Amino acid sequence: MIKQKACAGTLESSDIYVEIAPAAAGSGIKLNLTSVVMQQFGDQIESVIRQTLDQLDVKDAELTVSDRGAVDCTIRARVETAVCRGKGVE
Amino acid sequence: MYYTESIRLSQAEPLLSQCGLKCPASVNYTAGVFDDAGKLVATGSLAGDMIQGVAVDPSRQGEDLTGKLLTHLIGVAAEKGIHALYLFTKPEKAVQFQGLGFRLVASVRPYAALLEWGNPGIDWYKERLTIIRRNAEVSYYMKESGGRQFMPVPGSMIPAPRVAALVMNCNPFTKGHRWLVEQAAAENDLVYLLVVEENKSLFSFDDRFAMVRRGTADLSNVSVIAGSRYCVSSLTFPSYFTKEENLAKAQTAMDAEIFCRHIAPQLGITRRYIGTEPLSPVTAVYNETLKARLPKDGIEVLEIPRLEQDGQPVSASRVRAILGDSLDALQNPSAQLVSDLSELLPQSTLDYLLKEDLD
Repeated sequence: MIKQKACAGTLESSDIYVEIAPAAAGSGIKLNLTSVVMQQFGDQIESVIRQTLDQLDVKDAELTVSDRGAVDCTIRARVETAVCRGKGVE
Repeated sequence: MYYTESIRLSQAEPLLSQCGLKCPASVNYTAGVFDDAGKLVATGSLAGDMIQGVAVDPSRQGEDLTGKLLTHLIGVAAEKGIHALYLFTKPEKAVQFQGLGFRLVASVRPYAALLEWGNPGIDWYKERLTIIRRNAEVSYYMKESGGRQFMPVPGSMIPAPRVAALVMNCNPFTKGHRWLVEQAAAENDLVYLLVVEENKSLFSFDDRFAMVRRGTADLSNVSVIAGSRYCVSSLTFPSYFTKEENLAKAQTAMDAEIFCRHIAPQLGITRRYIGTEPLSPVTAVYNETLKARLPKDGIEVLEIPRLEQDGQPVSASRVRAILGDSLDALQNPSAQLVSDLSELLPQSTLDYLLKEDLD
């Protein structure tokens, strides 16, 4: 369960900035994604984000994500950190 | 390597002037990015939810210092509980911020572009407008069809509604406002009355909104809507509140652009009513801008002469003058004061002012 607004990452080149906010149970994942490589990799970035959320058992959340060309492992790391902060895990 | 930290605005001044920028006003946080030698190479400030005074040393451009700086400012704002941020820049620089994930709200060449970050943003406001529009249109179709249909139906004889809008501060809601709304309500099927949301007037937004609702409750085709930050606010039109005439042209252009691009299409507005403006030069500039810009998007601007009494326009500023620009006079109002006010205010506003606790 996401309890609070949280973020991870930066807006710098090759990084990704992930903001996560709580959402009502049953409302699912609402993802608002912008990327400088939306055309080329938009679908892939989205699927990496959704997979990571799934692995972390996050069912309901609102995410605002701004990508500047991060590679998959960076995306996973940033999403995981945002989720941990959102859950209040130290 | 670079590091970012909080600095005083005065430390940023040399870099700002080097970049040809003025020192921003009413700033409550300033960040500086330093290089290894301790030289300031980029700066940016927060003034509430506005990002201002963003400057990067020209010799360090292309090193992505803007991304570093804005990440820092967004983090600082989030710690203060501010999750929606706004930024003005030159139209040609907007794309640089869009690359960082900022959304373009509107761009008015050659003056400025407005960008936003986070939530709630313009899309959230537009979703709210959609709900209000749906409710208003359902009422219209139900009334016109005698309860047989609640939406447009192919082959039905009921025409699409004529839709008008007014944007008003109503500080407070006077007989003059009432008269203007009555004109619009009589000449159109649906009227949206957007109340300026900024809390920079004598009467708070909550009080103004309540007075407008009570003062128009009998007009069934009028919907009263909170104007948000996108309608005559310190965001779209700061000089409305500071009375700075020379800035008014650029700012009214931004306000009109947002109205045409976002608000009017969302509500299906094809007419906007404005009152003639004999007293305030800033509002006069605003009216001129609206008359020039709105027709380009097929929106008719109808300028209605102000309601007059004894040869003087009935205006909220006269009411405020009678009150001495203070709410104290309403504590123990004299019979004379009540009588003077009742000349200018509808009964609903008078009751509200005398009986309700004002913010």
